[in-house]
Amino acid sequence: MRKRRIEFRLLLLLVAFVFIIGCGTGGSGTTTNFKQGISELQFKMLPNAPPDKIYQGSGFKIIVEASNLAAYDLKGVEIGIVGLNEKYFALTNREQIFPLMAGKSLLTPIGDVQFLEFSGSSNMLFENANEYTGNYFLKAKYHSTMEFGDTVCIHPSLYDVADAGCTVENRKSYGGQGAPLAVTDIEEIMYPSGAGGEVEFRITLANRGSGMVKSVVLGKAKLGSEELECEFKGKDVSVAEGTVYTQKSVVLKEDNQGALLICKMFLKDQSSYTTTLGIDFGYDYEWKQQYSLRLVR
Amino acid sequence: MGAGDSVKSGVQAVRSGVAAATSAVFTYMAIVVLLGGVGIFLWRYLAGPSNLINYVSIIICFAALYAFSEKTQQQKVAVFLPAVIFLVWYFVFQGAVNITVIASLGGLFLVVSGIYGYFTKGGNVTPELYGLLPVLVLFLDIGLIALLNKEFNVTSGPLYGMLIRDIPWWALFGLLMLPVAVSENKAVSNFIAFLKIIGFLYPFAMIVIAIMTTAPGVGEGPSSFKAPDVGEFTKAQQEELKKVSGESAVTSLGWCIGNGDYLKLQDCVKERQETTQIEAVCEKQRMIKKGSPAFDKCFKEEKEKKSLVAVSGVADPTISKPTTVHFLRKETFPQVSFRTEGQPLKTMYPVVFEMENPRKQQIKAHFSCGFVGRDTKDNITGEIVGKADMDLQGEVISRGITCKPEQSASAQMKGFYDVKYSVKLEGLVSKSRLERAIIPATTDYDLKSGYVKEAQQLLSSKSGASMAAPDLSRLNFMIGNPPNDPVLDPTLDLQLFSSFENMGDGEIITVHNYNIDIVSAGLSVTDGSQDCVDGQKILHADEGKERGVKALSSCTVKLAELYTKIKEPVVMEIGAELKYDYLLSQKYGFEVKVS
Repeated sequence: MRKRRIEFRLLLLLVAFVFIIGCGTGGSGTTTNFKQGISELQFKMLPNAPPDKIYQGSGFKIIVEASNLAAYDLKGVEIGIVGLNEKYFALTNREQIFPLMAGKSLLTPIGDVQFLEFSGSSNMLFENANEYTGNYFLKAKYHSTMEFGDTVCIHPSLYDVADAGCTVENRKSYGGQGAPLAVTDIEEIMYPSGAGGEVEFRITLANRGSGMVKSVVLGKAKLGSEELECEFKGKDVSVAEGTVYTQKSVVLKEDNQGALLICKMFLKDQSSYTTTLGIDFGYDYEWKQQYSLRLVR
Repeated sequence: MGAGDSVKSGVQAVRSGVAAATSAVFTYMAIVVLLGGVGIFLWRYLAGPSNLINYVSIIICFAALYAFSEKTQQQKVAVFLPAVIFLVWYFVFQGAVNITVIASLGGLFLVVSGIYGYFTKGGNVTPELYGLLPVLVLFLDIGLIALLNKEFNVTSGPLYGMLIRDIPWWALFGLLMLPVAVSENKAVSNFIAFLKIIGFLYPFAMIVIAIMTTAPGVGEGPSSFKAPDVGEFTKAQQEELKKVSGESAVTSLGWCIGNGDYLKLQDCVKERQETTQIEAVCEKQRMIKKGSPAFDKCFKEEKEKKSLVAVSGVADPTISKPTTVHFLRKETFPQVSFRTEGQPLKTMYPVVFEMENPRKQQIKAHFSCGFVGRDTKDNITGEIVGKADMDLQGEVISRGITCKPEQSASAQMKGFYDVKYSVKLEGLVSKSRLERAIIPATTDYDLKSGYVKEAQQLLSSKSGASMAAPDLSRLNFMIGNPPNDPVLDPTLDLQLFSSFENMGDGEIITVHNYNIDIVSAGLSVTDGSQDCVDGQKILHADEGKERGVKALSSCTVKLAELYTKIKEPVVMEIGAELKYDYLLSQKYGFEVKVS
């Protein structure tokens, strides 16, 4: 009887141990935040594909490893070889399309990786030329999203010394949200008024990636559970060709890869509080890198 | 005052009298050189270069030597010595690089110079060097620059004409030789001083600018062991003046002022120069009499040709091996031959024909030869020993070519001769290529700028000109809007310009066909004749002889409809070829001695 009691106590201890261990060590994976820093779709040419020299009348392969290092899924990914002179290099396929490339997440912590193969053959050189160098671009186009979230202090009665709540940070800077498009800077401006007040967020968006953001579309913008009224501002803001005019989207020019979003909300309450500011964006992105093939005799 | 003093003062008086007389002679000599120079300049300007003018120039050279020795206060004997010996070698011994002649004259010079140097304690070196300056001026006056350009292509550009035509060398030399105080009248002296400054700066500025426009390629001159004679200088000057043609800017300015075009002088001079240049081409090159209907037709044709843009091309940097053709004289070539009086010359003259044919073209070659007496200028027919017609193939071709003079005529041969070898190469083909990038059609300025930038990065050649193998000739062409823009917009009409270029030392004798394969590249002619991309070219006299670019044709072309649908820049290459015959000649000198 005593022996059984000891066995029962040991079992309880074991169960408790399992629970203790389970509770204590289970958080390491879940606390990894992929949505920080600057990450994007990255490309790597495989060694010898293409080779340094391609001989006349021979076949060759261009093999590209594409890794989505961003924290978001990429949609409609088009990757292609552009600008290769067909007289010297004939490719059987010039473009490959992936409907979806998953971003980094708990399930795919390294992001989606794809290997792209472009097969081709070389032709003859001009007369008795020693070589020909053909330049080309490896180009990628895709659509993706980016989410921003932070805790902000709302304090409509700035001059109320009796309210010792949170302190408004007028300006905050950010290092990225796990995508090439990033919210880099937020200014918070409070306008006190009789009944409550008004809060304005001036959100600076910038492309920190190696490619080019073609356009940005605002998704949802919420302060706590309430929606903010937002619109893009700035002299370079223009609406995408063929779209209905809306201040919720912006086309970015090559020489100015940034945008300013102004979000406002009327406040009903006068007391200070902290709440979450959450905004998500969709964007079209283009990336290109120049390479060359060398045809020799 | 004693007798001794009287003698001293007498000697001083004689000395000052002699000095005054010498100074007067010197002034007169300088004036002779100045006026003679002006006279020669005008004479040559009006009547064209001739041997007679050049002989007068030699006489002026002696006056210049005298004036120069006085001006520089150098020993006359030392100043005259090298100049006289050089002139004797050049005119009496016809510039022969012959060991006997060189040793005799060189020995004479060394002996006289040595004796003189002994008595003057080495004071002869400077004046001897001074003496060579008037000789240099003499050669400049009789056409040294023209000859250098003809033989070596060392000068080019628009100011080249001024160098050989617009500088009165002797007049400038005489002007600079005038004493500081040429007259008691201060105004005259000041005017002369002013002229001297202008005279000093004028050729200096011309030469500096001419050097700045010098062509980089210095060709291989014909091998010869005899310096060119006065006739060759005259001929070179005549030929080069033909090329330069037109009237000088100064004459045009005078014409415009005479016609009262004071307000638009610059435009008037430019127009007048263009007109006279075209007239000169018809009159001097095409030998058509001014005022005739044929002349009017020629004027119209040449004006049209001039309006065509003579596009230039570049050598393909990826092709390292050029096509080269030349004759080579080996040690078996007899530089001196002996003939028995009354007997024909039995010597044969062998050379080696060498051709590097890196593009392995199959060529027909026809060889010929002939003899020209250097002094007598008589032509003696030559005969190729063995086969004169050959099929050439392979990458490196080497053939022995032997020439012998016609038997009966060779019985009269005596003295210095040139044997001229010629080869007519038939069926040569030179290929060119032009790289262009086409951008997608768009009206969005920013988008278009991005495409243009991308297209420029894709091009392997940034020059915008066609590239060709370094052959004897090449076809140059450009397509674009403007033609040298390598980025093509499919919504625009494109201009096509072409030209052919003689790259070798010989003559393009026939252009059988030129073809720019625009069809394969998806282009078509929209305005103008199909001749602009495919046709034959009938060459005018001398047109194929000159090195450089000659305009061929022009038209408007358009890209095929499919290019308006492209979404990304596309790189393409347009090919072209020129089929032609080429003539190359080379002469070598030799001497026939009769015993």
